[in-house]
Amino acid sequence: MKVLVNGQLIEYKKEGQGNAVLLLHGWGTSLASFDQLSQHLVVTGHEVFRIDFPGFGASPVPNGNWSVGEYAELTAAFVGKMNISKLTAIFGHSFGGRVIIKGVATGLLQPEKVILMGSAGIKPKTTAKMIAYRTVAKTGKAVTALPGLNKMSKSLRERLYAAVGSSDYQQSGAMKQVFLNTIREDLTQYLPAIAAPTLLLWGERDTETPLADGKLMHAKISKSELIVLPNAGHFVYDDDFDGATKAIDRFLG
Amino acid sequence: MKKTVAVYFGGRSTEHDISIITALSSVIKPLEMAGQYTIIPVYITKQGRWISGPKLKDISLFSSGKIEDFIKKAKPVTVTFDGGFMLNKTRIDINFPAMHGSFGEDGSLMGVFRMAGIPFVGADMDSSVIAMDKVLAKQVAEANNIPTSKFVFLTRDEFLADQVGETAKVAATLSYPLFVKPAHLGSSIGITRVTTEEELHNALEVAAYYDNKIIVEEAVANLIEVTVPIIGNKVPKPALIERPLATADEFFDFENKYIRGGGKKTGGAKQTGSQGYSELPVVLPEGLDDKVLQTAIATYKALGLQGMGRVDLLIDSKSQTVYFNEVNPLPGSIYAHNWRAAGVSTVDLVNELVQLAEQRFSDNSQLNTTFSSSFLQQF
Repeated sequence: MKVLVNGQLIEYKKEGQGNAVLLLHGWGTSLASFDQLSQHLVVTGHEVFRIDFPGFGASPVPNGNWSVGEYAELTAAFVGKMNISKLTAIFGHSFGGRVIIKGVATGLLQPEKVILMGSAGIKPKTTAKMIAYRTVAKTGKAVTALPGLNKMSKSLRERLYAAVGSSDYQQSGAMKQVFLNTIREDLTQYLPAIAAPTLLLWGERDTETPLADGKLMHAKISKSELIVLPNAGHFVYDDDFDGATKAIDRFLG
Repeated sequence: MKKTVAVYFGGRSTEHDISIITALSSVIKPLEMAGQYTIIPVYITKQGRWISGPKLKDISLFSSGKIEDFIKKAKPVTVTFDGGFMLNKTRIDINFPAMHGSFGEDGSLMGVFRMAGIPFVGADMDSSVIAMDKVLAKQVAEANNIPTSKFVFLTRDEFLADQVGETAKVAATLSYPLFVKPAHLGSSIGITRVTTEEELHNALEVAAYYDNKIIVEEAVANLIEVTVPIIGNKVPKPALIERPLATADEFFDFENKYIRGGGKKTGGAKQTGSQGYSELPVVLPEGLDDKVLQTAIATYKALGLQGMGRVDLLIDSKSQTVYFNEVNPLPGSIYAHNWRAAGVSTVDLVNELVQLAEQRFSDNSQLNTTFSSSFLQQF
């Protein structure tokens, strides 16, 4: 179902009855990535709202050069549009976590509880190794543009970009500028302003947003607890569904 | 000698991508397999640029995204009206529009072909205009004593001028649940089912985002939704009655039709791909089959459809009333799957559609559209 929020067409789903919760997906995915988790939350007595962020799933690309702040404003406007008077919890995975950090810290979003799952938001420090990788990737782009190498260029470039963690950039199409705006912003400074009880759910094998990010968020958010699931990766809520939902159920009480 | 058929697809429409699939899989390929035609693909970009070339017959050009580079390099098509119709320097014998929605299925393209004086496949301009306006189509059906569910309509400007007032007016006129639809869009784009005034307001906003005219309809109780593809000019010929199977979203929306792989099978033959899942043929309570076919054919005739079309009907299974819902002059993938199930191969189907186009053109050619007079001699 679609709704118009601040002039932006948004695909959303509303399921179940009970305490309202909102799920925000990661970069390159959509509300469908929460199908299983959403079903669980409906069964445990929640009214579950999910949206496709502009530029993902069935929501058109944003009407402007957006960064995380605009996504937070849109999310807040969606909550208002749905007349959600009390948001029991807000869930964010990866990019969705960024939106929550900024939205909650600036007071745009006022949930009773926050659940960040493999959340992005900490800008990685530039290391000598990364500089080397980026150089390789840039060189790779030039090399693969040469005649005769065109046919293999896409997969080769993808591998090179993947090596520097830029597969999202490679696949971002019309959203490239939004992606760059997003990753350039370090949200560490916003973390102490999150006063709501916060569950940090992390997969020990997460390579996109490493566990070190979760530990830093735990240190900066006063009322936070960090749960680490040893057999899970970046999609912690799917990789270890039972472990994740057990922690979520306990946290939500 | 082979006839030259130009197939038009893409276009400035929300159904641009669906049109590509219709053209490449259900029109161009079977026309080529028929062995009687030379095919000229004409791709109309989202910006309205007409380009042509044999590479446009290959789906991988579109699925790989290479189409963007192709568009940049391609020269636009030159169209010549010389009492007939030429594309670049090739004379076209028959035009085959495979463009859904705005500027294609709504009569715009048909108007161009009428002006050029060339046979074209499918509905003519006037019936396309009526068919692609859900309000007009319902009004025509009502005037021909074909039942429709209760509805109201409003313009985008009316809604934007007084959103709360217009929402309240609709809510006071109709009974929930309601369907809110942009009047001119197909493939269920922008359609919302609502049960409260707040949802109605949000749905009107969405419909107004897409269209300058909005229709709001009462839902039919005890619903069985069916659709009937038909071909023919003077003698409409129906294929099988098909029932789209709705999911939890409670109606057959764009995602179900074109994106989602399926849902739960509840009976009948499972159809996948562009039409999602459906029961084909549907098993209806006794006596309803005839009523459905009669209503479908009556609607096809009342709206003046020719060539092909698909009539969507809503059945109240309790009262056994069959309501006209919508008509689609160019159904997605020309509903080839249904015709195949009815025993008509896609090659035979496109052949027949081309013949129907030629027959109508021949019939219309016998009409006098000019006459000699001495009117100018007085000046």
